[in-house]
Amino acid sequence: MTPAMATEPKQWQILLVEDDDIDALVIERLLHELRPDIQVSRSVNGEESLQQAQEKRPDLILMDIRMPLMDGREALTHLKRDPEMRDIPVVMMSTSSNDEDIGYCYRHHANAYMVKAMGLRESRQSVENLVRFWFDTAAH
Amino acid sequence: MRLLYWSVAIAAITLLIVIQFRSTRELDNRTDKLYQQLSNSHGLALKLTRKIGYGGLIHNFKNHLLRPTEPQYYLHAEADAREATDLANQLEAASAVIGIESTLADTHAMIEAYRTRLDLIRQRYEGGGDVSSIDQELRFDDTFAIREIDDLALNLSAAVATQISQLESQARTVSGIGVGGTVLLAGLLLAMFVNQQLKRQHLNAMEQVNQKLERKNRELSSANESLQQFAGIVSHDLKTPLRHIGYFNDLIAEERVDLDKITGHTEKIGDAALRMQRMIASLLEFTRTGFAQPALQEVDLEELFPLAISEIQSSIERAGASINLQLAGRVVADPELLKRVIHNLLGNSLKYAHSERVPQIDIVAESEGADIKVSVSDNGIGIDPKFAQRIFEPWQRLHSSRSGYEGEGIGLSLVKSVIEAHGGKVWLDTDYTGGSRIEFQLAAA
Repeated sequence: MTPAMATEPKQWQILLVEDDDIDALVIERLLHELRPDIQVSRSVNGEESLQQAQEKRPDLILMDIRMPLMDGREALTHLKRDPEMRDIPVVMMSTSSNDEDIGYCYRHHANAYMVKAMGLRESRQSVENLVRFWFDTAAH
Repeated sequence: MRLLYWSVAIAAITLLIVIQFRSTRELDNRTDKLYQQLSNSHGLALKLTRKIGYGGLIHNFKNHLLRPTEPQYYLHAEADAREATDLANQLEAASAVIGIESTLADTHAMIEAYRTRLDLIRQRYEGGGDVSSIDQELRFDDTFAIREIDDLALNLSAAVATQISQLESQARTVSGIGVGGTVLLAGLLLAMFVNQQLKRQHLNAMEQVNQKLERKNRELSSANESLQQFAGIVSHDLKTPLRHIGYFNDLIAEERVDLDKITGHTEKIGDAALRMQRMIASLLEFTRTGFAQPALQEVDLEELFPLAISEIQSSIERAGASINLQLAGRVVADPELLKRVIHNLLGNSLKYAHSERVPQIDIVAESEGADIKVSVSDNGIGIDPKFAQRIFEPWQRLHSSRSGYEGEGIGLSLVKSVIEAHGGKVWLDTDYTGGSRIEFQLAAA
């Protein structure tokens, strides 16, 4: 995030890795509510996310944990082992607020952990916090 | 330590045997010696009797009496008396060795009497005495001497007999101690051996119990682990539709005016509720079937499989699938649980059918040693070999909900837990490429 780009407003790119359509839709919608300019691309499993991360080099990856084929934990491990991609911040998302699950992600170098909220209002709050933390502070 | 015990025991036995052997030899030696001494004494007694009797002293004395002028009888008699005294002394000594103290007083007195009478014969003769009067005067009764010697000989025999029987009884005692000791020691060794064997058996039994406990423990912890995993997954997966209900509920609250949108949201809520219901149903199915203890009996596959298929006939017809059966053999299984296995496998084959192919399912059961192997093959979309393990874990869907393949991801894990509860095995045939092929093995009846 170099300030050289400051003259032109930066087009933030987020890779959303989520197999559940409704969850994906809600997160995308909430992101756009806050920042219409954020580009959101979507992967439906861990394997696909690795490929897309390699191609698009997003500014942030939002990674669901429980997914078919390759789950979020495995994808996280691959990403953080890859010297070219390990600097991309990864925010893990899960229904679980279990310490063990959270601890696992941090031990595997996740940059943040977000518990999926049960309602829209709480979800909006989570997404707001996320954006403020990762983009607003990073940009200035 | 054990080696030391055995060495000491063996040394002790050897010692006892040596002692016994030596005591037997000593008994023989001492008995021989006693007999030798006895026969020596008897010999002496016999010689003495002869020497003083009518072959010796008395014989020559009488001859001297009859022929006093012939000097050889005097000399012979004198020699006989000397030798008799010598023999009597020897006999005394020999008797003393055997343990009989005898002075042979009568014998010595008799010899002495005859010796002194030898000279008296000459005096009487020269004094003019006739033979019969001299004989009358100088006669000496030798009965006491002869009886004394005979008694001594008898006493010696008796003494030796007593001593030998004593020695024998001693030897018996020693030998008894030896034999007893050997038997005792052997008994002790046997006891030690038996004790060790018992200990070993005990240890073996303990080991077996431990192994059983360990196995049970492993089974339990594995069951516990899968239960934990299961609970975690269940709670996660159940939360998803619940979350969706929450979203759409909030969206409706935010919308307020647009009825079309509100209708859309309520439909989504209905979908989520339905999905939850399905999940709960399959969860119940899993807890009922997957954790069930099979009631084993002989099952004829030729009867059971067609029955199982007929129960889901409508789904098969809906999918337009055809099923081929090639069944042989009987298995030991719970028929109800085995039907659930077949339902789940067929259900998967129907669910993951290839969009461009008419579903074709082949069920083959064949004998394989002591087992029956059943394979269920389809011509569906197939399963990537790299998921050969993961497909059997509970709630692992390989396809996301948007892929069009609806599923709760519980079927194969259920199949696995049922087959494993039967002591069987289930696996994905990764070599099969025409679709997917799941195989399982059960004990033949």
